[in-house]
Amino acid sequence: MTTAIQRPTRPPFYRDVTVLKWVFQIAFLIGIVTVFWLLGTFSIANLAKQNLAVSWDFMARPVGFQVAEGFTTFPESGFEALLVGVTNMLRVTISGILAATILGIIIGVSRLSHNWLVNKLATVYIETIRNIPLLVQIVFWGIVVSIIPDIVVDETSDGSLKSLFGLRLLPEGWIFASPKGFALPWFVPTDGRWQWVGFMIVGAVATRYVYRWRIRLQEAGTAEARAFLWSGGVLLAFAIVGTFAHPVMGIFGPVFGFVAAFFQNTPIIIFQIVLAGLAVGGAYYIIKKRLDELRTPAGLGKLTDDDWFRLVMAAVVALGLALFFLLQSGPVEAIVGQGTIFGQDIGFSQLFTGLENRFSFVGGAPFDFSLPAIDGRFNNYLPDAGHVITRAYFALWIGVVLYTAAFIGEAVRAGVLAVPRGQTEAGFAVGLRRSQLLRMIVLPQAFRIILPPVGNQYLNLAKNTSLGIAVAYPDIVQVGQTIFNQTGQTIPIVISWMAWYSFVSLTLSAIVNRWNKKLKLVER
Amino acid sequence: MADSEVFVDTGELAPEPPPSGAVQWIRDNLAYSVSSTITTIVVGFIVFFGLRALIAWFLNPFRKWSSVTANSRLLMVQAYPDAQFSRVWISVGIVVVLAGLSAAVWRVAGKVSVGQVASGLLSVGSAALVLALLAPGEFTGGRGILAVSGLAIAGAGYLWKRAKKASINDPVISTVALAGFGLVLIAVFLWTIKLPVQEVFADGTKEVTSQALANSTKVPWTILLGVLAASYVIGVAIRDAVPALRRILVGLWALSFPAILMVVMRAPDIKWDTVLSLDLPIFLVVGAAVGAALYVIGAPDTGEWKFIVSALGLVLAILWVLFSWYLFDPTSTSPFHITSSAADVLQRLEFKFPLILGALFALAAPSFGGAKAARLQFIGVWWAALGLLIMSFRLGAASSLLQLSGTAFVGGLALTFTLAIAGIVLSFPLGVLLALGRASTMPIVRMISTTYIELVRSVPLITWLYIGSNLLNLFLAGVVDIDSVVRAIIAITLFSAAYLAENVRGGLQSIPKGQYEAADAVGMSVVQKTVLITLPQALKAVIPALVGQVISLFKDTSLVSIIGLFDLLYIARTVVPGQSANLGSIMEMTVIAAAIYWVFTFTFSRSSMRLERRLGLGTR
Amino acid sequence: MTDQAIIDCRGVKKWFGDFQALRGIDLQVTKGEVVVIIGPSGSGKSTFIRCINRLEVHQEGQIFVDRIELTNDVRNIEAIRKDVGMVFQSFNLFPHLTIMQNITLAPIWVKKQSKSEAEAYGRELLERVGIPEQADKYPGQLSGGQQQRVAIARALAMQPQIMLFDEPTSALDPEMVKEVLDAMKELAKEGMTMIVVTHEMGFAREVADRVLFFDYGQLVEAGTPEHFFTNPQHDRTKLFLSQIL
Ligand SMILES: Nc1ncnc2c1ncn2[C@@H]1O[C@H](COP(=O)(O)OP(=O)(O)OP(=O)(O)O)[C@@H](O)[C@H]1O
Ligand SMILES: [Mg+2]
Repeated sequence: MTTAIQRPTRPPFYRDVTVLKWVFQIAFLIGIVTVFWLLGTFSIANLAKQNLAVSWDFMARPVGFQVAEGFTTFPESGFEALLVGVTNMLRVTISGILAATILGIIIGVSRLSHNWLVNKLATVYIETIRNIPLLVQIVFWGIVVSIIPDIVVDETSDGSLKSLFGLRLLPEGWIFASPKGFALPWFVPTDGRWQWVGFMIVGAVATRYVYRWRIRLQEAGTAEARAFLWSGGVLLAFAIVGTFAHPVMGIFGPVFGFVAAFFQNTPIIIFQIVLAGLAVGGAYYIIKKRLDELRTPAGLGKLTDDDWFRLVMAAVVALGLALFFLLQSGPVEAIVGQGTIFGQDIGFSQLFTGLENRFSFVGGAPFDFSLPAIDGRFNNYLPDAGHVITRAYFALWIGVVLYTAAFIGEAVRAGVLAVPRGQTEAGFAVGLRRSQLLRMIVLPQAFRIILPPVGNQYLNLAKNTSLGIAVAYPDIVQVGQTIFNQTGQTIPIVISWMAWYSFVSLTLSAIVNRWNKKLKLVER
Repeated sequence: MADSEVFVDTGELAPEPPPSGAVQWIRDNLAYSVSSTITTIVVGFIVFFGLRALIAWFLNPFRKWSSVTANSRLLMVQAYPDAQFSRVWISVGIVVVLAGLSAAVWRVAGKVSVGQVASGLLSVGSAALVLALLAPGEFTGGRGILAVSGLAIAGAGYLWKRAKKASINDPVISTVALAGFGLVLIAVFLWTIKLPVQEVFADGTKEVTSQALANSTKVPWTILLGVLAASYVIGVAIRDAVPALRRILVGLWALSFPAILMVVMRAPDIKWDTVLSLDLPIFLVVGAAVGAALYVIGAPDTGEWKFIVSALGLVLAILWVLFSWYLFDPTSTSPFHITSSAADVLQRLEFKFPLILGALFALAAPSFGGAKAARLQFIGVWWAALGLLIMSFRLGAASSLLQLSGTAFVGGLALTFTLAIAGIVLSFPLGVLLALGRASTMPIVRMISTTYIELVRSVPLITWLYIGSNLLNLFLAGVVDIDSVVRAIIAITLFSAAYLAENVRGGLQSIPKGQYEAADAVGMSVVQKTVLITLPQALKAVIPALVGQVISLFKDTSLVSIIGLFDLLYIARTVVPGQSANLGSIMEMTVIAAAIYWVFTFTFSRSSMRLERRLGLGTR
Repeated sequence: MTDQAIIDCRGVKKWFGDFQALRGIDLQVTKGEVVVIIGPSGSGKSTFIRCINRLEVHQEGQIFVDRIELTNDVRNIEAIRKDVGMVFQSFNLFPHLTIMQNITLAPIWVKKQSKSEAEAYGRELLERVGIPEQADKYPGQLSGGQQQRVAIARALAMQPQIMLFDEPTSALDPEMVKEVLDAMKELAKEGMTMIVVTHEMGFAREVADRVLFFDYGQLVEAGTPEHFFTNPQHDRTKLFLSQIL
């Protein structure tokens, strides 16, 4: 008594769950948009009252202030000033992540140590550092540097640090410490460094292959791997050879020049079409893939709300982008390098022209060894001699490193503890040595547990560098704040901040996720 | 026994005591291998010299510790007017009474073994002794006292421990007795221990005299300690007689914060004639009208029209509030030109927000109405919510009776606490809503919530504080001039809500699917499911994470010193070292601020660990 | 027959992605009937009974419960859920509420009964499933069998006309199975309409009016227990029965 195929009856729209759901969502969306629209109109009107229209002009115009440190201290435009802030932020973040990782692992391992003194010291460290606001710590380190002459410098000295607690250090004039910070001997890069870096990139790729090759050998059972030793050796060899051989990389100069010319001379409409095509093609690919996954014998009536939403969003975004690229030649020109954005030449063409100039057969070492030096009149460090660690940089760096290391230490401890005891015992049972056991059994497993929280700490470290403003470290927040104090352009600055930090967060979490996935794959 | 011969003489089997003693301990813990011995020696040297240097720095006669004692009140409450200072004591008193009662009602008292107490004494005494021995200079005065008392305490602890080891059973002491003893000890210290205090006279000369710890405040502190003890005793006495005490106390805690802040500390100048002529009528009329509507809408089986009517009501109320600011305001000459004070604006909103609240209640009415008793209870909740809303409008609009030097009536540690508590309390509802939104099955809602959460979390707090302090006034300039403290609170709230949402989402994800299905199967609506099933479980699961967030928020409040609010750090770092009498004391002040933060954060985190353990043991 | 059917399914089909879990189920259940569904794992038994109270949404065909069609209509969903009680394999009691609160929650908030009324009935139900003394405990403090009986009481508290059981004894230790089955038999005797997914053949034989065999999302064979266990028609049914009996 099978009945003919029937669909469920449709209820009246005002009682249909699906309809009600979408009506609610659309009303919600309209509400949110209205609130933002109101806030927008309010603020634009208020700005107009203060004779201040929102404008991005400051990005192109010279700024009237000096930045305390960075790749340039006299930025030519607001954009460049922000760029200095960005690079300063990255400087602290990258070196901070490296140092915090090393220190954090030491702390975490110390927390697991059987040695009572070491264990307790690590515990005291963690409990002290974690429970004091980072800002207070940064301020504290700033003050410590500012009273350095009282602590460590011999009265007779000219600011150069001869001895510490009575211990003679390096030859006089090698290390300086003063309220303005520290200065150390360092390798100062010369023009050849770009080619050297290019050489090292080749070296890194080669190292990767060597590493894989050694691992393969190990797996085949032919030889003891010593993969780290081998790959380290190869990288070192490249570094040394590259010091002399880097001009070889100059052959890439003309290639870069050719690419630059290509971006410069190709008619813009071609790029517009290519970009629009990419947007549409990408969306087509996404939609098709999703639909193929969803296709059922009963057709496509089985799409859930989420599916519909995703597909429609993909199509709308793609069409919007395509129209944008086709109708607006300005942004495309800026991307390619045929036009400017915020008055800046920062397109692909300029990028490759710059690379061309830097790969031009300069001889000599890529780095010079140089001692720090002092400008006699004001006791300022000369920025190009040796390596100068300013007070602000030091305070911020040591602050975030010590703080983050405490959290990383806890994550490391928790991760190692989470590896079941049975694993260790099994390892011993199959006759592994203690060091092998750590390297081959415990650490790989602990690493998988440690990575997500540590990745989170890296993200926190990156965000926490913004506290440098308390010691006047010119990162993007401090520079931005100076700009809006001068120009009153709050909204563009806020947008720049958000764009930059979102970019950093997305990038960092993408990296961490990738690693996570990779580790999970290994697991299977 | 027949085959007793099989057994070896039991005397030989008697368990040997594990090797013990100081030498054995060192062998086990410090020198169990060559490398560990070397590590111990090296680290020991570092610790020794580090401690010595630290103590030397602390005890250096050049240290300006007197700047701390002289400014302790500034650090705590900034420049709260002297004449009104009793309000501060009342506020602390409220917290103390609630704490004492809660300690009794939640039965925090436990037992601790004598051995543990003895060990504690031993470590405290040894630490004091080591400090005294390491300190540089003459072996007299404070240092001598420290050494002798350290030796005495450590010795007592050690002997006690020995004695206890000899006896088989492990006697226990109630923690209440210990705490009581500690309170008495603190009271005694308040009156006897002397600290140097610097006085600056009118002619500019300074003199450092020795005064009792907390000289000017020892009387109130002693009274408060007594109040704490008394309220604990009262709590113990009534906890069994009043079964609803826990719920009452939770309510009181919730009310205590706004009450302290807005009523006690702020001393609002309430115009009673306005209350009678305006607030009361609004309360009665709106309350009665909406109450009647709720009674009708909440009746069982009234059909779909109830949703439609209340949803339309909500939309209209919101539209009215959003647009009436300039569409219907007779005093404004242009949409954006409203020349009214904050008080006026609040006054005008006072009519409108109750309507939004009413519409929300109406939407929830079908879910929580029902039988007559339930409906009446729901209407009672409505009246209470309305009363609180109107009261907060009145308190917010009233000017303060205080004679203030600046604009803010809270500062110092009090401001730090205000920001942290207000941040967490206000961000709670928003965070829960965002978490629900992100976990929702509705794509648009989910997208909006996710965008908010991720955007807020990826940008550091300091930028949000700048946005709060610069953009908020830009958005609302001319409508209402928001105080800088309130702006900071708004920024912190919006920021913390995103983090809270992520925590709550963790809790939501931990709820098994079967819970939703069971709720669906008995026909619960989405609102009922959320309020009755999902949220209680999710929130309970994330209590530890939420406490962790309170802690980090407490630390994060120090950032407001960058935008120039007078919080603890700002006063320690900028205000005090700027006083002519205390120039150059920035290091000392920063260290003290760090110590204050540390004490609170450390205490919070320890209590949260205890709480976690308790929750883990609790029934599920 | 269709006219008296309290549950009437016509050509019910359901897909998960591109996997078809139900391939056109036709079934009429009359009031007071006890229907037992058996079948191999993954054959769509759970999916089918979850469609009956719309925990799953069927995509084709029609389902009528008490002459109300299951559609996207809020009013219908509300009405049907009040009429159909469900007991799950993993109990799904609310861990943060006491037993009494578990039972009275829905009557108070969904059925809008007064608290005292709901509690009185709740006590009666606990009495019926044999655990009146556990009212103030939390689910975590009860044994599996007791929890499942509470779950039955919770479903009954809404005074449904139909009860769905999805392998109610599968998660129980063997010695607790009986107490739950007894409660179910009691219910059947009282004339409740029941659809039971179970592997307890003894129960099926004793209580069922009809036994249905599901395989690959299809209703392969249906019949009285006697017919079913002694004289199955279909090869797949024979194979299945030979495996489990
Ligand atoms: N939410 C879901 N998403 C995707 N596939 C599902 C989902 N629920 C069930 N299925 C699939 O549908 C099929 C039928 O599942 P169902 O739970 O109804 O089987 P069952 O007969 O109850 O089996 P068992 O005896 O193991 O409980 C299974 O193959 C299952 O994998
Ligand atoms: Mg099943």
